[in-house]
Amino acid sequence: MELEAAKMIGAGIAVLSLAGAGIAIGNIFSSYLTGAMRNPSAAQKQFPNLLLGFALAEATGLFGLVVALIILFAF
Amino acid sequence: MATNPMAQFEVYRIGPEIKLGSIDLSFTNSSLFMVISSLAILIIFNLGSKKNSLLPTKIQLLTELSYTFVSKMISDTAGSKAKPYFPFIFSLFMFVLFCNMFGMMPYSFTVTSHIIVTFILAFFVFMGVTIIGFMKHGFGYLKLFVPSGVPTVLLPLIIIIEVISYLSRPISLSVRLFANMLAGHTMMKVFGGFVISLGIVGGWLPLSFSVALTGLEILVAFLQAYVFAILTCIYLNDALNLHH
Amino acid sequence: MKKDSFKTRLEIAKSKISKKDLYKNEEPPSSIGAAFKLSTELVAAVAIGTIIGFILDKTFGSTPWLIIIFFFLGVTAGIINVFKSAKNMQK
Repeated sequence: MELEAAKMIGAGIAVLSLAGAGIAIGNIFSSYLTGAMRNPSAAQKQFPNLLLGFALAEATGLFGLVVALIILFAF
Repeated sequence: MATNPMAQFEVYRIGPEIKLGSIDLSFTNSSLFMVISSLAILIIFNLGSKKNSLLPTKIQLLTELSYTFVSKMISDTAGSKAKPYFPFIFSLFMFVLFCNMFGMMPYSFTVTSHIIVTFILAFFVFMGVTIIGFMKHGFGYLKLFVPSGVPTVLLPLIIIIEVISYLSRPISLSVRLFANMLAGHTMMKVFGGFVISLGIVGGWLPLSFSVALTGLEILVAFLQAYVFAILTCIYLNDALNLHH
Repeated sequence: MKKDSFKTRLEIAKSKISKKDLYKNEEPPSSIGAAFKLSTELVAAVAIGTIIGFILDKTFGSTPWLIIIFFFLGVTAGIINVFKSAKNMQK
């Protein structure tokens, strides 16, 4: 198999990790909304934790995107 | 007509070529935007702290808001022992924030979209936190890797896992910021290319998505700076107060 | 006789001057001066560590290991120095 085709296939497989990122972000926001519905007055205090959790989950998915870009453009 | 979407990350030389032996030290567009960010921070915060009137002007309000924000962030996560580290965390947060925000302007260059910049920032944070931990607790700092309440059988495995996760901190910190900036700007260029290539008939759909994406990228710029700073505070908390 | 009295007077006068009186009229360092002092310490330590590693690498001809080792040493020394001088400034 030539290098170009292998690069495309490798990059395509590497981006599948973003599915995990999507599920994780949905999980975090859904649990925040559930907690906020039960206890609205305490919801504002947990907002920084929500942003932190969202960024950490997104980062793990983006690691896969970085691997895909490296495969495509650096080899 | 669509150029390479990765061409925006190219670092080129501005001005004369300064070489030290075989090392190229010339002034690049990356250095130019670092200088612009630092100057903007200095000017804004200098103007904001000149007169302290009780009814603040707009710049003074901005300065006080940023100060309170970072101060609250430090005292919430790391306690009162971390107050001497406020200038460091403040400079780090403001530098990353301004670099990200200046990258959102058209025709500019995002400094933090290169792994070497974010890696050096994360590396110095990691080394600083480790050295502060060793200076404050001596070799007792290594107790960080032994969480309490672990049965002795599992102890070697737990220690190895904890050490690996500690050593992966600078890598995750740097790659998080780098990947967010890289992915965001690449997507903006790719969708911009779609607008042009679909022409006036079908170009409205990528255009509306580009508008939404730009808004998202401004949010991500602020969020990534905040996450970088708050993770630094959490690591500092681990070093200063040894309990997990 | 006069020499002895002069000497004793000199000793008494010397013991009255404490080090703190000499610095009474000096103003506290400005914040930009303090910032420059701390940042120069860190940058200088890292730069000197790397340069020493580079020179040693050239004489011994080994691969970039010496540069890396001395870079780490420079970072460590710089951070320790910044820590200590920041502690002194806070007093």
